[in-house]
Amino acid sequence: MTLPLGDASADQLRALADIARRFVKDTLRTTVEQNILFRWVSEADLPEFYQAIKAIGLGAADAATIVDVTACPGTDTCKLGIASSRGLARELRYRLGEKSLELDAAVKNLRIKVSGCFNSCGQHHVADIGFYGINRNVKGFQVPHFQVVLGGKFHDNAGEYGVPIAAVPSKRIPEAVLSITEYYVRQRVKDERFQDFVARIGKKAIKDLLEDLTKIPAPDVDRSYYTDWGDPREFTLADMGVGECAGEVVSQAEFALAASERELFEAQLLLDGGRSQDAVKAAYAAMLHAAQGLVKSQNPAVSDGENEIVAEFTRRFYDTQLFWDKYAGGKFAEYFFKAREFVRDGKAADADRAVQLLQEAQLFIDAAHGCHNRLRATVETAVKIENAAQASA
Amino acid sequence: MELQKIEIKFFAVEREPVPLTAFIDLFHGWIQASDGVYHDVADYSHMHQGPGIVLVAPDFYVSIDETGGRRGFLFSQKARLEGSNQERLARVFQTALENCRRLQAEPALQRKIEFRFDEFEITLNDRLLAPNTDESYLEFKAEIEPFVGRLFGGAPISLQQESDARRRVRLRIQAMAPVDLAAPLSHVGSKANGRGNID
Repeated sequence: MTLPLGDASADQLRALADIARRFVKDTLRTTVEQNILFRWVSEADLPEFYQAIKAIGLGAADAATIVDVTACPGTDTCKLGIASSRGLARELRYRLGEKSLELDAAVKNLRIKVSGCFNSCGQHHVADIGFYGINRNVKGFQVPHFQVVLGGKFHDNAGEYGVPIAAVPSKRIPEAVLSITEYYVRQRVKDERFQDFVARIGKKAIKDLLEDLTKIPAPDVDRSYYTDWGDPREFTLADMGVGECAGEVVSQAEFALAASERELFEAQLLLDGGRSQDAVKAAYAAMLHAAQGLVKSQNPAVSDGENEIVAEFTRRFYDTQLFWDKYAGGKFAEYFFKAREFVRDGKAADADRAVQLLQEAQLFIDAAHGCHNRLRATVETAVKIENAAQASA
Repeated sequence: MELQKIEIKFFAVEREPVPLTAFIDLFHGWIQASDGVYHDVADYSHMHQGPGIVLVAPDFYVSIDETGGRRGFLFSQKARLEGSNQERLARVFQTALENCRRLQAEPALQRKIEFRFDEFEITLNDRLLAPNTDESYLEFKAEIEPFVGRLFGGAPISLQQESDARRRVRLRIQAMAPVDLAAPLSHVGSKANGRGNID
């Protein structure tokens, strides 16, 4: 029995208790998909049982389908939340619910799970289609995004994790879901399962499919992309504003961060091709490039030398706790250091270790984006304050 | 009995249907205009007869509530109040009325929705202080009756007790004669600071 977004009122819960006493001897269970499970309802009782739950507004037929989106609390109530997982889940439930009767059976059985951040409380990593909240800087504005994670395996005790494909703006995720599912229906072979489909088609093809959806209009054309679901306030750390010239200045740091994402994707392609060792090296190179990008924001003259980049990153960002998560501390920077050690020691990387390292690389790069955005917001706020002080002087 | 965590619900009268989601942007506007009085908006519009749209402040919250199948403006006091029970009732009622009046006057609603003040629910949201027992109801009514008597200027009223013993202590109060907004406010006589808070 589905609970919309896992929510139930006190009156509904009391009514469910009455229903449980009436039909299943006082026993019901909560599920990991945020629903309620009644076991041992006799077939003869089903019509009455259905009428009873329908009377309290819980008779929707979409439990354990693609419409039944699981989400963690996200930015609604969690301090760790980066993007609105519940807002997105609500929108996906609404749009998919409208189309549920038209959906192909293979699509209807997929699972969507949304986490507000990388901590995966929404279990995005074991979803067929998973999302976790991140932020990106677009045209000088903080824009809520979700990392698209595909091919996780919910069954067989969460036997396989999905892999990150692309960062898509939050307001374009419903289009992404439509694109992915329609592509699956068109391209699948016979009864091919979604995980197998993703593995066969490959991440590059899916990334190419989503490429157009990674772009959004300028804020003066459509500001809705610069807010999150259910919140009209601008999604930003500070009042970023726009530049004084008509052009767009892209910093060296942003170039490097963008390049590091491309490099990490190449690493994932290597892993897909069975080249675990090469994938690990490529992932570390991506992390190194992201670290260099951050260093360049303070020391533009930093060389391409690995030792200098690591030393500068450590001194300027790790030791100063600039590259620091309020709750995870220096964990993401330590992924970078451990990856370096792993590659330098020449250790053999099996597929599992390679997967772990690539996921850690993604988290490091996401954290690098976050660090860069925070620093940029701090600088621009200081500039605005200075300008305002000079104007009033 | 000490009356704390008092909730008051004024029932809505809709001239035209107003979707619950219309209140999300409206309440966000209150946040932006309030300089820290209100903090956040929670959207429960996906729930059947649920909490609706909730505007959260540190000491209270207000919501467009749909529990019991009747839409209404719910004011829920969270912070502990000092003074006598009568003073607490007056202060909560005053603040609830002011917030409700403010909402009713919102240009965005275009007067499509109004709220009744001749009938309301009052709930005690504290099962430790106010367990759902006959004794609690006796004490609660002993406080409510004089308060509502002053509120409605002595007009006859009916008091209906919550019938489900599993629910919180709750009374539905109805004036047996029409009452307008000005009358309750003039009779309550407590001070509010005009920002929707209780001094």
